[in-house]
Amino acid sequence: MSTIIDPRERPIGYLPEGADINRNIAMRRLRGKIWQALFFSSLVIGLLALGTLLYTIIDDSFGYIAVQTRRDPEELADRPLEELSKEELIEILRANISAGLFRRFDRDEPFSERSKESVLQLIEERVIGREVVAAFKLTESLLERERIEATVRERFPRAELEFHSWINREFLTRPMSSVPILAGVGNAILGSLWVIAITMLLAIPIGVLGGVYLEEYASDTWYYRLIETNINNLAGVPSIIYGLLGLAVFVRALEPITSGAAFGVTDSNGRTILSAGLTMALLVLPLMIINAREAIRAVPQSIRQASYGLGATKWQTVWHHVLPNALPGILTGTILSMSRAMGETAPLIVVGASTFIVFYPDSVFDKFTVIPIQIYNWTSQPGAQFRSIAAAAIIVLLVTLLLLNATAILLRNRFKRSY
Amino acid sequence: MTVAEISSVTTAQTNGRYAVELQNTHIYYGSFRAVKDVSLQIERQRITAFIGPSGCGKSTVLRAINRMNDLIPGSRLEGRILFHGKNIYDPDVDPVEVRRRIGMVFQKPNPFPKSIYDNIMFGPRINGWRGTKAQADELVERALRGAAIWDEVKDKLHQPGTALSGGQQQRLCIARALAVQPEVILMDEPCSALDPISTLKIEELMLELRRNYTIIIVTHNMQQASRVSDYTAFFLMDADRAGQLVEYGPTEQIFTSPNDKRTEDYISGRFG
Amino acid sequence: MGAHHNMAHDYEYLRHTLDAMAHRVQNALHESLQALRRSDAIGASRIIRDDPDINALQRDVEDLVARFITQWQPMLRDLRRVLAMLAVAGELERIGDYAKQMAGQVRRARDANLPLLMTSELLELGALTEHIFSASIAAFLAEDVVAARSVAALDDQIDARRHAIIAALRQATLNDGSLFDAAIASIEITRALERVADRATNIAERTIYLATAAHESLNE
Repeated sequence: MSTIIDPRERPIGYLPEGADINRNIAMRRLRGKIWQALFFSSLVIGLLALGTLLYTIIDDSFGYIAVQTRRDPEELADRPLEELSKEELIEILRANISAGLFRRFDRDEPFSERSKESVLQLIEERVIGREVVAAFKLTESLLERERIEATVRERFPRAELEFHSWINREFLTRPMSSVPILAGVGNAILGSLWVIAITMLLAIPIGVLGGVYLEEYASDTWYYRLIETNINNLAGVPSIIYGLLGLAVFVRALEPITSGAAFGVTDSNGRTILSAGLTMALLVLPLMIINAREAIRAVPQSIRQASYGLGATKWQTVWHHVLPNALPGILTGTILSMSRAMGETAPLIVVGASTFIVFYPDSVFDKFTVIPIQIYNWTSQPGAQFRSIAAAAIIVLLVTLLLLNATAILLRNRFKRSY
Repeated sequence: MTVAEISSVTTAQTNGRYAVELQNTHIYYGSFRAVKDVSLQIERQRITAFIGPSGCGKSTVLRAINRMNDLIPGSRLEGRILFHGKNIYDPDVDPVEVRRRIGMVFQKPNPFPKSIYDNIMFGPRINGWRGTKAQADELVERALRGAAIWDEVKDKLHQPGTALSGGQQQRLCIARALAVQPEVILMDEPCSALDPISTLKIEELMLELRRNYTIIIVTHNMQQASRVSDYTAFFLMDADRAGQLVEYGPTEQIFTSPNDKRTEDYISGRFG
Repeated sequence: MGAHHNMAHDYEYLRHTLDAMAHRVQNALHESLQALRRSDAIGASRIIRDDPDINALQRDVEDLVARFITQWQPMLRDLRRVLAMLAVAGELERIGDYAKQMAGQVRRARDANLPLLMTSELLELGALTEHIFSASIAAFLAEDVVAARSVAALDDQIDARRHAIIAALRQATLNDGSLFDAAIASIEITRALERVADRATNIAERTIYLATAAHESLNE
């Protein structure tokens, strides 16, 4: 049906005709192009920022180091040190360090009880004394080799130049050390995994079950709305507040439990893996609940109706249909929460993460450190070598997060259903 | 007494003419009265169609018959809906049981995102079914045959039900409803999302099912109501937006010489 | 499909076509009686020549009804109305044929130089038939049940008059055998007029069905 507009009626404005149409369209297209360019440049800025970050990290993580030893290992024995027996190694150690120092080591831990590796490590530290006297970045290592060689020859004539990857197997497995080249993130990785395990053990069930209750059972009354609003607000509370809460509640008030005193652990205080895990669980719980609710809400109402229509109870409907169909969404949210918990630093500092421990945690009542704490710690130390190991630790953290996210995508695709 | 007890007693004894009776039923959503004073008797093993313009309360009445309205917060019913002489809104009646005996097929086909086999077996399983694998196979086959879809899916019972065409999905949903052995099947615009060929297949199936089941169907398609139903109820919204029953009678009469002018106007397409 | 896409408009167009057809038929009937009055072979030939126009209009009505049903899926009275129109178009076509038959009789009598017997009685019968026809068509188009029922009463008069004419013709041929062929022609004309009245009664019945959804026989 076409409506003829009578020109005698009141004017209703002007719609382009003829050549005006083309001009108008060209104008609109131009405007669209400008916006598109704006979108694209935002993307480029983002990518540049990411690129710079990666470049800085990688630049710091690899490069030449100048290594200098006090003694040549070949002077100590006629065979490689690794092939010697523990007793021979102890003898070498005794011959090359002062008697007082040797006695101190024996006092710390009798040599008879030490492993061969431990003795070997003492020899490397105290006798051979491999020492990094200079470290260079990746770019200068690649582009200005001659200059580096000249500098090292001039300033450290005894030193040898070698290409070093700060991130390597020893770095991943070794505990902390005050000597950068000997330091590793082994116990920090383990600490992170312990804390995350406890966090997830608590946050997943509580978050999902709470989400189910709010979505499927709670009626639309003022007190449930109040609870909802509070949960949404809690998700935005600065993480350090959670740290303070954890400090007050888990570290102090519940110390008998979190220190393990109630379970017969004696040499500990409340600043344990357990406290950290509980604090982190509190931190991600609002996220988990919000996310679980979103995932549950995304399950089509028609599926619920079909289930009820066949005589299913509420619980059967939730268990057989709502939860399985919400699972991919819940998993995605879980992994995102996990990434968040993985990267948090502030609350753990407040709760009392140790910045320097050399042993590996083996129970929830142990003191702990985590990767971000190590990064934070190392970046605040002077010296190029600390910068390098901090960069290496950042790479470890990034790769871990990347793996977590990849797992999330795989799981989501695995459980995804079409309606 | 529960519906089950009633059902086993009265079917044998009285074999009443009516499967469901609505007596002065008013349905409210909160303070809003959606349906006003509906009384009608649904005859056993017949197809009854509910017609009327959108918002006239016909779907609300349909959903009241197996207490699906209970799932909507704030919904409330006054009056009585008798099933085997027992008011299903009595406090001692469990809606879960009502829904087992009065099944439902929805507007949009909604198979579970599971295999065809599991779609059928879900109802029996949650309702406490016990039996062997062979018996389960038999149950699945019978339900699928009952819904005239067996031949199309017998070779892909373990493929997802969601992979079927729309018409097949709807027949799968009917088979799923049959698997819990209901007496009454409510259909809420079951063909509105389907193409004409699939629609005719569902209609044929309904006429087949009429031999063993009582069917109540809500439809916007007047031709469909006149094709398949034995009785037709015409609903209309009154001045305060509450749905009410205007006319109820044999389909042939409603579609040839309705008694009420409003029915005639609606059927002739004068409004709605 | 025009600019006015609604059922009432399409129905109006259909009604207009049927009305035009009824006019053509009424005209043919009237002209055939005029030819009879004047014993006008040329006028009779014109009626026979124009009959295909009426048949074409009937096909138009059929097409329009089919299209109407497809497009509007009419129900109840709307459906009965277009179905009745379809049937009425058929009746009109038959009535047109009877007019053609009468014209044929007039022309044949003229060609064979036969006298037309009892012309004035035939014309009276014709006038009554015309009246019944117009009344039933008017009742149909107005969907007037009362008017339709009154058509039935007139139908009885037709039969009575026809019997009277036939009895008179019988007497005349008994007296004078040479009048036999002429009497046959007149009887054929009474038969045609009686059929027209029958068809007109059918139209009245259709009117009642369309208005009340009840079948009512007026021919008893």
